[in-house]
Amino acid sequence: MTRRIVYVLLIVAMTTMLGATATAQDDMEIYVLGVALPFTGSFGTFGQDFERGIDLAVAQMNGELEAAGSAIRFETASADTEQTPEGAARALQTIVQTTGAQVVVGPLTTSEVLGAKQFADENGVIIVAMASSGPAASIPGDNIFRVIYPPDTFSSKAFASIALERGHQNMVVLYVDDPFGNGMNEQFIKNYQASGGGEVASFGYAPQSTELSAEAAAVSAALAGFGEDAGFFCVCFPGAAEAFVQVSQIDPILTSVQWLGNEAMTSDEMLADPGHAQTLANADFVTVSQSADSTPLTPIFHADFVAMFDKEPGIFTNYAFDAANIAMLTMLAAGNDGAAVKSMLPFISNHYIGTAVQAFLDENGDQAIASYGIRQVAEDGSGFVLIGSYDGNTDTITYK
Amino acid sequence: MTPLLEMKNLRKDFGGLRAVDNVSLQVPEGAIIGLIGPNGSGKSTLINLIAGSTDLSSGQVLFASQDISDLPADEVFKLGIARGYQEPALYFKMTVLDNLLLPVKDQRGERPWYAPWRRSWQHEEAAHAEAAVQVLEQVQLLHHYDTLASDLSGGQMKLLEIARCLMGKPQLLLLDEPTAGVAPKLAYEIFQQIARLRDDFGITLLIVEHRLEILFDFADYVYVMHLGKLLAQGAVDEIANDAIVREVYFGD
Amino acid sequence: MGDNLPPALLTTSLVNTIQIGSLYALMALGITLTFSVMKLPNFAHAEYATAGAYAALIVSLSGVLNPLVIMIAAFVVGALSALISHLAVFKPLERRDVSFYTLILASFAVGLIIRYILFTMADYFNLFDLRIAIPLRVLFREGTLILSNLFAWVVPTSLVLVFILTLLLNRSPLGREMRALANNVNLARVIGIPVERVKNYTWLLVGGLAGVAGALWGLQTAVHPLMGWGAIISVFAAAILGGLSSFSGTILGAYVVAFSENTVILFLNVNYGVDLAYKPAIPFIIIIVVLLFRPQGLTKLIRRAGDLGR
Repeated sequence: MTRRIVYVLLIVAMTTMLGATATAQDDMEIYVLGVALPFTGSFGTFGQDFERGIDLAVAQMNGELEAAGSAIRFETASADTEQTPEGAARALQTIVQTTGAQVVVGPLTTSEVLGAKQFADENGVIIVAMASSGPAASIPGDNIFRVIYPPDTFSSKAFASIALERGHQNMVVLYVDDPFGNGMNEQFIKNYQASGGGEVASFGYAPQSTELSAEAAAVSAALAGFGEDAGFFCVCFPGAAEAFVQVSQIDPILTSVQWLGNEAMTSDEMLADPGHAQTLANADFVTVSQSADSTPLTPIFHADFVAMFDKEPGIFTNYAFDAANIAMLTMLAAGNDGAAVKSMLPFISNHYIGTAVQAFLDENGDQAIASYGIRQVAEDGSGFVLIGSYDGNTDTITYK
Repeated sequence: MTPLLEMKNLRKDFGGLRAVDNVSLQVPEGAIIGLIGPNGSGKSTLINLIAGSTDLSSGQVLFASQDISDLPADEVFKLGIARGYQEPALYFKMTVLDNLLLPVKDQRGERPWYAPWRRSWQHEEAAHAEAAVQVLEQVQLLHHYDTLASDLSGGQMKLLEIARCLMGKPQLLLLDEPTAGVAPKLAYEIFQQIARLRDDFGITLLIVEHRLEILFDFADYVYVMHLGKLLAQGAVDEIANDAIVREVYFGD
Repeated sequence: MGDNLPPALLTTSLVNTIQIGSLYALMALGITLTFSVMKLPNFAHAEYATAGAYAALIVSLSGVLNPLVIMIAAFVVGALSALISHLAVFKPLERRDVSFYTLILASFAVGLIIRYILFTMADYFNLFDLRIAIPLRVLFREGTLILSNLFAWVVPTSLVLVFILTLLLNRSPLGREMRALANNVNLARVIGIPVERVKNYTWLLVGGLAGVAGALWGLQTAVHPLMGWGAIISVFAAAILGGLSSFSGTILGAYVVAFSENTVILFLNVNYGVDLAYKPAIPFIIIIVVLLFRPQGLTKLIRRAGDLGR
């Protein structure tokens, strides 16, 4: 008998609560934050990690809004870009047409961003990208903002300066044949030759390639043609980077020159293989990557992320977190309206302290504060050591 | 005594067409049974139904009192029913010997974990080849054992088909016009071979045949089909003189 | 503008041709066999290779570095994924007598499913872009010719497996039955060949070989859920060069494709400035050219599949 009463009470209580939340939701104003990222493909892990960073930002924002008694709540709506330009356009369309989202965080690479651009511009949707750096997407007045991560016009200068400092008379570049790789290659050649560098032989590889023996053979032959003081610059995506190092290990030329390369060359997977680690160590491998400087927010983000997901945040996950915050803060200030967000976003962004660097936008809507770390692989290949920094705004390299 | 093969009320519809309509017939053990009828009367369909190559619409097929109505063709073959075709169906790009070794069942060399190791199955294979040689001797094709099946003459192909049936050690042989397209003299020889199968090995035979003059010399009992139905049945003399059969079959 | 390759580039690219061609041959033979025996152009074939590569990776990560054990693990996992995809998808579809095109689509779907199962697994255990832990060493060096231990592994293993498969198909009872299925499956049934069993065995062999190929491919590049898919067009080009029906044609086709992707593209790059990024276009061009010079197209090729049934 008592049990039956308990049941009845439970049901009554649940109905009331449901009713309460229902009424509560009726009063709520929901802002949808779109999330377009590659959840599949070779960048799938990045996409999934980035989404966790965005989820953390949204959860924290909603918590604060509730505590403050605000009626606004954020919800995310995500779609897979499949790491292709067409996929990114489809993802954006899906999100916008099913939820009416005005602001979308993502996509990841420059080629995806450019793929989604037309739909965004035509439909007044604002894209807040967190890691795209290809100069091809530096366009003034469009609906694309690329916060936190500066365009490669800066890092390519750093790479060119280091190549000249190391005394490389000529350079060979292997780059992924997409807007990011092409941009990096072009900018590098421009900066390198403007500062007195010699000839540059560039080889593009198709983004979908998983096997790079022919490319390695071509790079090796080009290096041999330039002679001893040539250097090598590798602009690869993850996967292809490992595949390339795999086949270069036994190449007598590639193992005897100095290498520069982008961040993808510095993954944990790369160093997990002793042969790869040794190859990079022998090549005095140096990379220039977005600053590892910390702001007061860096440790807080890290602790919150671990508390929420019980795992370490991946590389650049905090950039997604920052991009989501900038997007949400702008929506809170300007309302859930694409045009208003577009006009307000630079202001909010320029007053946002990021988890790694201060956000600040140029006339193209791209991050304009460019502060990089220069890291070299340790002699035993066990990890990367910070050997200096590069200030993109003053174009100066400072070694420790 | 129960017959070796018994068909009860077989029916087969192809879309709207009723190819076999309520046919019941019996094949006693050790008999040579003829099945005749004009083209399109459903004889070949009936053979397909027994062999499991075509699904029944309704009815029942019993073989040695076992219901085989729903069994697939390879199971039916394993139980001891082999068949030949009107157009000889052989593996033309394989040798005569290979054609005979194909129906041999359950040997080690059929397993992928033995197949690459010749030594593990070559004794078995040799024994099967020995059996094949004996069968080839019976049908007088031995000197052709290494010939490609496509290089044989029409009559030899028929004989090879029968030889292949024998490799399965069948109790019952279903033959669909074993003499079609064969010279008259060879046709008679083929039937002599067939009769010997019955006499020497006790194999029961159900034969569809158009050459009635030869069939009537060898058959014990004859069924006549017309438009999917069983029109008549009886001993050879009765059928040969049956007025209705003559009218349907010979048009006189 | 010169008109040849520097000797070092020529040697290296030829070594690559042999090494990569052997791997293509191992995978393409499986496609030819499935196509002949099962009448199925199986686009999920690449995924058996990826599954095998992951099996090899996991075994090597667990500390077992004996190459034989690694290859056996890859064989078993590849074989099982092939058999399961047959039993769960292709066999039920064949029972329903679906069209050839439905089967092609189904094979794409099966590939997609296996691929994303591997993705999920790789994501959970963080197994992206790792390498099977067999270190790469230079075994032989003479002038511009450099042979690695990988070459010494890949080429003989592939050649031996291809040789065994050819013997098995042409000389063993199982091979005889497989050829019979390739030639006339209905007759095979009527003469008591256990058709379903032979098909199961064929799938085991095909999947197993793909698995081993995947493991060897994983020594060549990094292990990733997309690695097999990345190679599938090249492998299909090899099989199509072989008319999808001839073993020797397929093996030759594999080396032709590898030669075009390594030596020819470098020749074009050095002499005519053709971008290396066009490399993935090569197998497509080969497929189109082959199909153009056989205006009868795929349907004719399907009938030609009987060539395997000697």
